Amino acid sequence: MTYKTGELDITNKTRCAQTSAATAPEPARMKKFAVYRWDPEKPGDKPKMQTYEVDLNTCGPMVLDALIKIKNEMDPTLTFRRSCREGICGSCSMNIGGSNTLACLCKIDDNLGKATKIYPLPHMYVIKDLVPDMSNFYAQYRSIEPYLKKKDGSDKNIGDKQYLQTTGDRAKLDGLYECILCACCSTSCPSYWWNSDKYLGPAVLMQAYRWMVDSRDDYTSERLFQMEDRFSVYRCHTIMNCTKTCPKGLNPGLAIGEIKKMLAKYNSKEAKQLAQA
Amino acid sequence: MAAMIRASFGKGSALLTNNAALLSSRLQPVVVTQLSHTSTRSQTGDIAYKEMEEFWEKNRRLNRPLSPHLRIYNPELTSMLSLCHRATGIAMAVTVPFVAATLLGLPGDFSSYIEYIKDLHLNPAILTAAKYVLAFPICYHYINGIRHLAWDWAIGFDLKTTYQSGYFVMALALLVTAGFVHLL
Repeated sequence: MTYKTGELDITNKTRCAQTSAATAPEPARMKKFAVYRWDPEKPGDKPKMQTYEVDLNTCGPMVLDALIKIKNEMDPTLTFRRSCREGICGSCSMNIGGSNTLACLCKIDDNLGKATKIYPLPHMYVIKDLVPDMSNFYAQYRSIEPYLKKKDGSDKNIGDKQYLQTTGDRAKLDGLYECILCACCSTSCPSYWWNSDKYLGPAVLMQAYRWMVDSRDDYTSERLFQMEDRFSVYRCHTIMNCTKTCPKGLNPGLAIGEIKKMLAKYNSKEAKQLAQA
Repeated sequence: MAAMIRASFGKGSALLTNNAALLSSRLQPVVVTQLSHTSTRSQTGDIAYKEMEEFWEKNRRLNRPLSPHLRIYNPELTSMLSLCHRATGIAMAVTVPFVAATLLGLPGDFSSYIEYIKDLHLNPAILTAAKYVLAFPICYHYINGIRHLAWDWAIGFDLKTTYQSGYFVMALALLVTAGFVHLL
């Protein structure tokens, strides 16, 4: 027997012992996935559901693993967003089994008798298959100016000194900064479905609150004043679908409640003067 | 333009509700710039609102389908209780004035109509069911209203408390309804 460098005769013997002791191949566990399909490049195509069968024994545990397996082995035209596969980038947000989550964090339901239904995020314009147009969502995020704004004016000394913050003030940002802007919450909100042009939605509002409550930011009153109309905040009717569906376990409903409380208490006349100065 | 902005702050708000109705029928939304505080908007805000307008224009032009929503989304306790609150509210807001106005207009007083219903000799099960239907909205809406008041003070927003209070409110509302029907 010729050996390659480093190989032991023992490994061959144990390998043979293992394979002879191995059981017969496990019966395939076939799970059905019903996926929303729509192709913009097929003229006159209507959105429809397409069912795929996946052997769970040769597939990873998460829905994203199944989607990738389908795309690799069965249907390369299946289109969906994905990146980190660990629940931190927010790309693979979609409606699985009736609820919005991240596909990479959603375990496949083992019940082989039921098909898992996969839809794109609800009430969004569909670019293709499971890919929604997120531009409105991002534009709304941009509109709340999600960056630190200081009032001392000069840009010369930025970065020279650290902006100090007490541990208590830093703790106020916990549960707010972790948002990955996956849009699961906003697209679970019926109010956002009916008013996505004017109502900002839970994700954007939670980030607005994150900047309002950051002790280092000097523009709290102006940020609150920006919300002084019938639609930006007040379309929230505390339905609380947002908190129920957040795949990161955050609470946008609470953030919106706190914004409403702040709006009731702050000095709006002063803020108006400041904003228009 | 200034008039439209002034209108957006409360007084001319019919303009906004009309446009909301238009949007839900997927016609062109007109009001995005009306809401912005154009006098105080920064450059970032300008870019954002321009992007929003481009979004609506592009998606209308490409005639993209809207992903399904009501028919596919899971009925959650949160959304179902909220729907119940809205439905009972609308039901009461419509029937109470209507019944009151009708009774005002019709001859005889309230008790003569109760006598009339008694004389119909309806199956008591139907009468009990009708009493449940009449009593439930006020009980549920009132008790869930207290939950809403707590939320207005940002109390009880975490998911566990929301669910616990939700189950409690529904159970209590059914209990109080049963109490009204059978004990009064």
